[in-house]
Amino acid sequence: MSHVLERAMSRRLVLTGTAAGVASLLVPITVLSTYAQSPKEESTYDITDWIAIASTGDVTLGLSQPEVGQGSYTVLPQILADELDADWQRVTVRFVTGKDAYKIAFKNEAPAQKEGASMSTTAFYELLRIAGAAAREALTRAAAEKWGITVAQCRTEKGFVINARGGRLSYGELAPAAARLPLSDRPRLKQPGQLALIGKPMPRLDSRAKSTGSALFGIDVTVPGMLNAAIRMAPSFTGAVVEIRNEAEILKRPGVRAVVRIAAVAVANEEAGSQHPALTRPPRDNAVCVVADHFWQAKRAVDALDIVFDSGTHGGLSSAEIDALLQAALDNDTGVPALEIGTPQQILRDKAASIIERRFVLPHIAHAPLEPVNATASYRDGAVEVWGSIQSVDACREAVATAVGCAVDAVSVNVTFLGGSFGRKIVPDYVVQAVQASKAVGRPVKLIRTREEDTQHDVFRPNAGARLRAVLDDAGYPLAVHARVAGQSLFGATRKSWLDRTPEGTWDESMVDGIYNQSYRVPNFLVETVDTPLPIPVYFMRSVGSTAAVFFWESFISELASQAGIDQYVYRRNLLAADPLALRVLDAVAQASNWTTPAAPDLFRGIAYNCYIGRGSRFKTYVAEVAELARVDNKLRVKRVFCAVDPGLAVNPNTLAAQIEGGIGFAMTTALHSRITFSNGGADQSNFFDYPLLGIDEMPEVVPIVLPSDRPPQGFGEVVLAPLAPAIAQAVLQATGRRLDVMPFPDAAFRG
Amino acid sequence: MRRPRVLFVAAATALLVVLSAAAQRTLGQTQTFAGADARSIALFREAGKVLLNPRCLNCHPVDDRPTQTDRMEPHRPWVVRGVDGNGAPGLACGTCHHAANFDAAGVPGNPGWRLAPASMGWQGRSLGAICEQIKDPARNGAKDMDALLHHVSEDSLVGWAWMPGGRRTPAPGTQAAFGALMRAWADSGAGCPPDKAE
Amino acid sequence: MGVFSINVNGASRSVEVEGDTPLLWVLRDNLGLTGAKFGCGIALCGACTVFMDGKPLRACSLPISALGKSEVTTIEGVSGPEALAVQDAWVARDVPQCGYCQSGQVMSAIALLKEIRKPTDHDIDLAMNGNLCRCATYVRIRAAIHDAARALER
Repeated sequence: MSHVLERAMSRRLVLTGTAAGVASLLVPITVLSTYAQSPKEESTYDITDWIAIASTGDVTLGLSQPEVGQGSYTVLPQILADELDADWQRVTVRFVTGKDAYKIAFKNEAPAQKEGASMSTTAFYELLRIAGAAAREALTRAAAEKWGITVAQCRTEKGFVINARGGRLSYGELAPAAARLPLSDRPRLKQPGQLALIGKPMPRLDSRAKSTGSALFGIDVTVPGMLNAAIRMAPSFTGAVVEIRNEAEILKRPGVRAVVRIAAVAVANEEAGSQHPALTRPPRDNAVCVVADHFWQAKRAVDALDIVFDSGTHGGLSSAEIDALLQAALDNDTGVPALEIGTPQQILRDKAASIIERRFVLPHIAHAPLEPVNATASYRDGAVEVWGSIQSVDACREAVATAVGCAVDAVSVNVTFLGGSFGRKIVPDYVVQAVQASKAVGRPVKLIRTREEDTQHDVFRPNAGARLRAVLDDAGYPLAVHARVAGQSLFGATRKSWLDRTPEGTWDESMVDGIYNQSYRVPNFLVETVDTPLPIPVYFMRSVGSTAAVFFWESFISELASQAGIDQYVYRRNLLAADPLALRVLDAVAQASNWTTPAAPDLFRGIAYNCYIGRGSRFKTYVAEVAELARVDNKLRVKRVFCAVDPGLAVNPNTLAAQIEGGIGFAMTTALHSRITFSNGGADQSNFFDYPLLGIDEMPEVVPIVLPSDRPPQGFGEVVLAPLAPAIAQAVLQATGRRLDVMPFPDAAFRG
Repeated sequence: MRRPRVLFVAAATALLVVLSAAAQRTLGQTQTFAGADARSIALFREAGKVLLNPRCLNCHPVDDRPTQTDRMEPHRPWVVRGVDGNGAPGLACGTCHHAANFDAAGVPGNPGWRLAPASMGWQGRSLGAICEQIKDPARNGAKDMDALLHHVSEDSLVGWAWMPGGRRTPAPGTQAAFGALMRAWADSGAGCPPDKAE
Repeated sequence: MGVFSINVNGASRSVEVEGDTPLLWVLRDNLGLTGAKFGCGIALCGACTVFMDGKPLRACSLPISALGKSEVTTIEGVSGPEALAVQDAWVARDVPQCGYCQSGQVMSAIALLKEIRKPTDHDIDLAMNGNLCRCATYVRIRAAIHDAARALER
């Protein structure tokens, strides 16, 4: 497998040894096939789709889920290694692809090999336990046969099968025989007390490589004969290339090999029919790339190209227009109902004088992974090989196959570590661009987008606005609530088959995720959505619609509690009375933050709750947060965030805590900084001066509280994001009386 | 004690005419003056178009942190004056700013790149207060008037204001014109505008 | 195009590039040292941090023509007690998530500890706020710097 990485220069970072005592690590690059194709130096035997054991006893564990920072590189192998009883100090992780076993479906869709939806651990936990256990059983049977004893007289430990007399056979010696035995599909799994790795805070396998610069990301790939490319895309999303005025001159620059017009790529690769019709479509060219020996040559050349773009059918698209559409949608006579319980409209009419109402608006935002999108592609003889930061192997293969007109089987994908993705790198637009460049020049090409191109041609998280109206009962609790959410529908723009269909129309559950499926007792409840389609490329971004919807919902609940004069924790507690798992996290966070004790002067707290329900109802993760704001020198600052979670079984409490800390930081950026505006048909912001990220100086302390659970592992990567902003907003309300109805929160809200 | 220059009234007036004609972003208009003090102050007000320009003010904050751009926003990343104007340990000015502007990275540069000392913080101060600061050896780095004039006319970092690179708006006029203006101001008695409110 | 003789990780290297090529791209594309990363190109994210004559430098901010005889140290070549303490602390705390920013974080942390043996949280804020982390691993970055400082005390 290393042939693809041979280069003129030595690259110790490609195949790297490790310090003694650390699980041996190879950067996760592999060729398409499974490791049935063994390295030439030693014999390796596949035992299940996930485990390969060399005659030396080295164990290679297959990882199907791209490592985007969530920790699957450690957590999923941990599951395999535990049931297998492998020696954790000697395992190697290798990315694998090409088998159905590696695919998952988030909702109603064909299974695909991809990471996302907080689904990796949840979807693979049991599968991997079974695979590990089945492999252990096969190895044990092989040993028992060899010794002429029964399986019951054998046990396993750290890569050995051991018999009652102390005789030992290593997995390496047993592998050839074990590989020939049929596998049980119902092997006996370990009892909880027998688990050695699952549930333990195992260190991450990739920490050293990532702390010493040896981990390989997509942008670091080089392959023999590779050229480099930079790209400039039409500023307007509906625009196209008209002409290039100085191509001949630019071609004369040192190192420049080609100027290539790039055809538009459908963004909604998974469902071609979903994309907004005005977005530039193939075969029209909407970008130009320069291919050169080195990236800097390509970048300077593409900067110097005098390209004339047209602004397309929607060259006037602007934030003013988008906001006007949103406001009109909020004031529409009707929306499409997502949920209706009781007689909310009637009650609101009857008690019109007592209606409490709030409106909210959130902008589009960009993913901004720190590694800008990039891909290395080699088109040759009608087949394509791709290397890089790819979050969905199958989406990539299909999009490339469609674009070049070859079979999906002719496209192979090698996945590296991803330098952040948050959903961005599922959409393989940048890969197809690299493939086009390679096809044009007849050599492998690495195409890197600058930060400017990455930001302006992100696939944005859509905007959203809400209008909520309610009347309270005599005790101050919601009697009737009408919630309407409007905005550019994500499913409508990318996955129409995921829309829910009703007689009144279709609705997008992600727009009201955390409202229509919320947990508070609301006896009369109408939830509606209104889609405002826009010619803006959008896609899923970590936490999808819940960051917006839960901000609307929890802020509104805060408003109701405030107007009723009831403590925010008590209010929620009473509304969740019938939900013991919800109460558990809510009580835990209140206790940890000393909620019922009056806060010190100049300290203000806000509490929020959400049960994150996985796509297709695959899991339920309970989350409650308290944000503590401190006032110093007349400025409010988020000082500390308590986060109580019930995540089911925490397979790795270490990586779980990291997801809590990082998820809160990620949500802080969204709450305080993130906004994309539009003009002249495209995005305005381009780099970190106008699209800033949270810095270490702004990061609060985080206090994670992980509640024990008998439930199997629930999804986790996205779940702590949504409650953060409303918790902060509630604290600001407490401190200053000011209501926050937009994100990013204005700086002025934190003064005074 | 400096001897007044011969014909300095005429020279100063002529200078102002020259400046306004020559400079694209004009410095100076001919005016008649009520008296020597008023003229001196008027000269300083003219020089104030440079002193109060974002190119200068950005590195003359009264607090610890420089500002950036014509809008004078807080410098991103958060950098501070540090012990000697070169920044905090771990994030000195020289981490990003080097001897020359590097437009490809959008980063300005000059061999002397650093923050002015706190005693020469100007942002938000009146021109009168700045005038007093500039003249005061206790606050201006122990410069007498000759040294001060040399500084404004010849110092490379001061000169950067007129060659800021990128798409930054240069300070009005030229360093030579600014230097001459300041010399004329000094020669006219170095009068300060009366608006000393801080 | 020009030929530049530069000193990287203790070795003399010769490259033929345009003079305005940022050091970052010379390191990555011409010398194959991909530890320093490209994140923004305008010295705002810190992912490209290396040392120049032992002091932190955003490698995207310096054209190769301005490097002269200065010695460049990258993450691949950094050494010394501070480097050891920082990298060990980074591993012990499992600081990295996606890991893309971490070369820059580590270099900046090493530089801080070289100058301030026992940095306060404020010192950390001032030294490290130019190193962005989209995964927001800041809680562990801060803890690891304190750990490294304690290790250096012994």
